[in-house]
This record gives sequence, C-alpha cells and structure tokens, in this order.
Amino acid sequence: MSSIGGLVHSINDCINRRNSARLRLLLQVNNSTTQEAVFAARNANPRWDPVAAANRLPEGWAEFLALFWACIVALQEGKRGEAYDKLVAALQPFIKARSVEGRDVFVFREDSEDWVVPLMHSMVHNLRSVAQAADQELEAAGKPATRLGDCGDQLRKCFAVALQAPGNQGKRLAALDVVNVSIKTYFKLNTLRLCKNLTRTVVSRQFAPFELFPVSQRVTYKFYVGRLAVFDENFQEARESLEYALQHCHRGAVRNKAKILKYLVPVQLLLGRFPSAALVQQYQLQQYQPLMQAMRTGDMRLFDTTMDVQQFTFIQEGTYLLLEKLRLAVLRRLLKQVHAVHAVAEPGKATQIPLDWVLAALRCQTAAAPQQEEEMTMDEVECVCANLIYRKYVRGYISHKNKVMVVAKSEPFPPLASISFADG
Amino acid sequence: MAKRKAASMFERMEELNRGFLLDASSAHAAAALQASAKLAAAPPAPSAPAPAPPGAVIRPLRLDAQEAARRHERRARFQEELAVGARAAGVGQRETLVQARRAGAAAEGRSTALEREFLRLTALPALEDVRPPGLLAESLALVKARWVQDHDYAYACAQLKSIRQDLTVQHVTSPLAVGVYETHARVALEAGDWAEFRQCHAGLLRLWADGADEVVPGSADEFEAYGVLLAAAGGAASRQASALGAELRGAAARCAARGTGPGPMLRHALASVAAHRAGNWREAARLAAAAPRMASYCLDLLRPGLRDHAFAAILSAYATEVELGTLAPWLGFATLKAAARWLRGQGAVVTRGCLDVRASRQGVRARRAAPECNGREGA
Repeated sequence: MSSIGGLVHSINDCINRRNSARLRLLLQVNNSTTQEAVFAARNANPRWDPVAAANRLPEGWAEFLALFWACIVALQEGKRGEAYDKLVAALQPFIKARSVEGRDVFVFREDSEDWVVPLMHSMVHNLRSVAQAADQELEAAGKPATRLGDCGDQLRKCFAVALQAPGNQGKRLAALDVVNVSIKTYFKLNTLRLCKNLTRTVVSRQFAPFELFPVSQRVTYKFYVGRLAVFDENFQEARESLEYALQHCHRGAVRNKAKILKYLVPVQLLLGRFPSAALVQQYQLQQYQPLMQAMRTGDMRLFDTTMDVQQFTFIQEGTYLLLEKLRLAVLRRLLKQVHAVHAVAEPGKATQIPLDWVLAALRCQTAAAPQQEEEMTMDEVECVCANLIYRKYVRGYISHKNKVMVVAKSEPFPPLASISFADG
Repeated sequence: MAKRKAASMFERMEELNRGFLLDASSAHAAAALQASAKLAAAPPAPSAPAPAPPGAVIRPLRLDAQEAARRHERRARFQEELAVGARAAGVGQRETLVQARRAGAAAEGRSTALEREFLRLTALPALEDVRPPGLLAESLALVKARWVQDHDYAYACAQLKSIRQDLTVQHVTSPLAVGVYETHARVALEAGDWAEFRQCHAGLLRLWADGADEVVPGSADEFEAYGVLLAAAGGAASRQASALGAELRGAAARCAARGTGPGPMLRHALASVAAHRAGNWREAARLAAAAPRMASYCLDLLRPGLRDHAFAAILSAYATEVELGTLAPWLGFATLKAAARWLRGQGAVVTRGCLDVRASRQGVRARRAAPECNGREGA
C-alpha cells in the first residue's frame, strides 16, 4: 500500500499483534513502503504534517512515528542534517518513558515484553547511516563533520537502556547489535580507545550470555574484537576471534569472509601458516602474495619494496605494524638457506656459519636496490643475527672475535609456530 | 516603558505579599479552629474552613519556571538605578567581543599592546584587551626574534599562549593561526616541553580539520611526522601499541583527505618507528643521523627503549667478549666512557675495554633481583 492511511493501519496492526518482524522493516529509513507512503502524502498536500497522521496510533508511538516520518520527509527533500536532528529527536520517545498522568506508555522502555528488540536494531542502524549521510553533506560543503560524533553519544544512550533492560530481561538481547554499530562508528571516527569500554562490558557478567545472540551479530562482534586485538598487538586473541568469526560466518557471505581473511592472514603468517592458492584466489588476498613469496624464499629486497609500495594501504587497514614483524621471518629464511649451502660446501664445520657468507647473501640481494646508498657492513649483519637469536628464531650464539655464528646441531631453526607470540 | 515595568513589578510584589499574609492569617485561624474543635471533641473541621477563602493553607511554594523568572526579576531590581548612576559617573561598561558580534559588526579586538601577559579567562574578554589579527602577526614576529636572541622559554611560552588566546576568542583560522601553533610547537620541542607540544599538535589537528592551509609547504607533513614519533615513544607497552596504530590511521586518513601520499618527513618517521620496533639499532642510527628538521628531538625519546633492547640482545646473542669500541655506537653512545658508565650501571662487567658477556649476564640478573641498589652507581 502506498498511502499513509494504509501505513498507519499496518503499523497499528503490528503493534497490536506484536509483529516485530514486519514492524522492523517498516521502521527502516530506506524501506520502500514507508518512503512511498510519505512521498504520496507530501504530493497530495505540500504542507503535510506527520503529527496529524500519527494521531491515530497509541500514545508514545504517535510521538515517535511523527518525528520518524519528519526525518524521512527531510531526507526526501535532501536536507540530511535536518533529517539527522529529527531522527535524534525521535530517539527520545523511543527509549524514554513518558508517564502521562500516571499511565505508562508503551515503547521500548516500558513494554513488558521483549518483542521490541528488533525495533531497537532498526533504530541504531538508521542512526548510523543517516549520521554518515549528514556528514558527507557537511564535508562536501566544506564544514567540519560533527554528526557522526553525536551519533556515538546517542548510541551510548541506547546501549545504556538495552543493558538496563527495563521491564523484561529479554530486552538485553538488543545490546550486542548496539555494540556492533557503536564499534563501527568509532572505527570511522578513529577513536578506538572508546571501544575498550564496550568490549569489557560484553564479557562482564551483567551482559547476557554470548551464545544467546543470533549468529550474525556474534560473527560481526568477533570480527571487530579481532581487529581491535590486531591493533593492540594481542595476536593470540586476534587469531581466536577471527577464526571464530570465519568459522561461524554464513557460507554464502563471500564479502564478509574476504574481510575477515584480510585480517586473519597476516596473523597466521606470523605463525608461519600460509593460505592455499585457492583461498587467495577466491577471497582476493593478492596483496599479501609478494610478502608470502618473500617469506618462502628469504628475499629481503622483495619484502622491502612491497612494504614500501603498499605502506599507505597497510597503514589504513591497520596491518602495517603487524606485517613489519614478518621482516624477521624473512631474515630467518635467508639465514636458513645460507646454513644449508654452507653445510653442503663445508660439511665438517656445518654448524659454524661465517658471518661473511651472510654478508654476501644480504649484499647480493640489496645490490640492485636504489635506496641503499651505503653498502651493508658487518655491523648490520651482527645486528640482524643478534636480533634473530634474541627473539629465539635461531638457536645459537655469535663469536665476535672469529666473526662466526655457531648454531645448534639439532633444530637450529625452530618452526615459527613454536615461537611464542609475545615479542616486545 | 521602564516605569510601566516597575509599576507592574510593584503590583506583582504587592499581590504576592497579600497572598502570603492571607494564607498566614487564615492558616492561623484554621489551626485555632482545629485546636478548639479537638478540645470540644467535635468532629474535626474540614481543612478548608468556611470563613477563609478556598486554598488558604500555606501551600508549599513550587519552584517552577514562573517562580524562577519572578525571582530573577527581583534580583535585578536595582540594575536600572546602578546603570543610571554609572553612566552619570562616567564609568563605561566594557564592551565584550560577544556583544560586538551580536551588534552585527565584525568583531576585532582594539588593543594596541604588542606584548601581553597570559591569564586564563574567567569572564568574557573585553574588546580593549584583545589584539586584532594584524597586530598579532607583529607580536609573533617579535616573539620569534626574542626567542632566537635570548632562548627564554618562560617568556616565549607565556607570550605565545596569550597570542593563541587572542586568536581563539576571535575565531581566527587563517594561516596566521597555523603559523602561531607551529611556532609554539617548535619552541616547545626545542625546550623539551612535551605537554605543551601535545597541546599545540592537537590545536594544529583542529585547524587542519577546519580547513586551514599550511603556512610553509611541507609543514603539515612535518607535524604529522612528529605526532607519529611521539605516539611511538609515549605510554606503557600495550597502551602504546594501540595509540600508535590509531595515530598512524589518523595520519593516513588526513594524508588521503589532503590528496597527497605521505611526504618525505612522514616516511622517515615511519621508517624510524619500524626500525625501533624491530630492534634494528643499525638502521635506527642511520635514520637518526639523517633526521630532517627537528625530528632528532623526538627520536631522542625513542633512544632509551632501543638501548635496553640492544643490550638485552647482545647479552643473549654473544658468548665471549665484545669490544667497547664496537658496542658504543650500537648502544647509541658517542664516547666509550659514557658507554662504560651506563653498562656498569646496568650491572654489566666491563674489563680491559671489553664487555665480558658471561659475567655480565650474572651481574645483570643479580642487579635485577636487588632493585634497591639501583641508585648507587650513576646511570
């Protein structure tokens, strides 16, 4: 139906029957039925007032829906900033109680059942998308974009209400979606320290048990937790969270899986676990291929040039610091190859690698590199070897006088997976 | 008009007083009636007795908006007389910037003083105290000249803060404001005032977000680089990692917004940070030697961490002796003496110009187990 009367009628119906699935759709900002109805009403009467149309709805809902339709009107007129303000105004009656002469009013706060939970989801998603649209408009006009920051504050209020769950404990199930949208907003604003509070609350006891929430929200949450752990250099937790997300992700959600893998692959590379060629092909992970190649062959030049070229991209994705840690793994592979060649050339002194050989290996790699003005010296070699031993990538010691690196007889290069994640 | 207002206010006061008196008297009467009724053991009189007008008990005064407005008016009842008296005595009201803006004129200060003490604002600033932007440009030049001459940080900091204050109250976001923040940041960097530097850096970020352009080409890149180096240097380990990540992301976003990639100074800063995190002291030393502009001040902050890491790596990687001559540049010392002093302070054993690795391991372990002896030897 594309008339406002029909819309009011169906909303009334949903409220009476507690039909949250249908009402959730009608409450989305880009829902076609709602948009058409509002458009038709405005066409018929250019000064159409949503308040009048919402009169036939129960108290509390009337106020909320009047402001919500005012927001849609503003969107259709192209005034996104105003639309955002109206939406924030609509949020107040949605989450707050309003006792009219002692009688309680049924919207999110006061309703004694938990059927309103999906409606909260619609509202928070609306808030974020309209705030982002409003910010785009402001930025195009050259003014500072503040709406998304305000959206963060509003989301905090929603989170408080969802956590408190007045009236029915079932309303606590609205909380995880609010957390997800909040984290997405904070990523956009780059205020990552605010996410810590949210994640701490989710694991605390006042939050509902994690498994009660729908899978899609759990996957999204674990994805964000994994990304935050990558930022915090907490790689063990990053791996667990991202693997959980990947495992529980829907089979057909290819783009989501690609996003998860974009952050999971670097963490796995630290462990020395490489993705198969099929995986790389399927999920567009080609950006990591040069690094994987460098790790396989100990090619420092390839590693350095790739990191240089892709520096900007990696920084924006937040994986730059993590990928820099792979440098030591590439050097380890190089040393391993030198060790192998030396063992063949001088089998009697297999464990004593002359540092000159390592210097020659490094030199012939960086020979063609234009940025290396000075040549590699013994100091560089000793620095590299000392770091490898200190981080336990190689088992052995350096004899400074004889300029020789003595490695262990058995398992001089322990596998990457066995070296703990905890580097300084 | 004033007279009419006063008359109405007077009338309102009278009415209010009348109401109070009535209530008081009627309440008294009601209490007396009740007492006598109780004594006579008669059924208690209704709370609103017949002779008094309805609602005659002292109702509690509701502090609603109306009452608040009334009280506000009463508080201001002598303002008229005071204003008349002040005008008669010739003492003018000082016009503030806010009033000037409300009057519609472009608000600019009227002060002509080139130098001004810095005082935190406790009230709206008056027009006579604020310097116009043209004068502020001259003030800035004066402060710069004095700094080069005297290197008096207290004076320069106070003057620059007052210039910043004048610019903020006049809402100036021109390249002049950017220039002032940059100057103050560089002065603070040279003096080692990290708190002030962070403030100026944050101010610069605000100005850039508002669309101000850089004064000298390449200065935006320069201060991004300083921000990254400072983020890498500050804070405890875990806090530092995410702060650095957030700072990098912010810098990348701002570069993308500006339409250019990272400039040469930012690249240098990124390479330095990567070298420090990898523990590559050779690369870090090479980059520090080639540090552009004032980056070496920031890199000095990173040096102690790298020194500790290098020392730990040397202790674990080497088996026999290492000459002090090779060690000193690795640990970032210019002279052998300074290196030896620091090493001994850590508990290492330095004999015949060499570091005895085996003995040092035990010495360092012992030193760590007994932390109260740490202050004994000079660092």
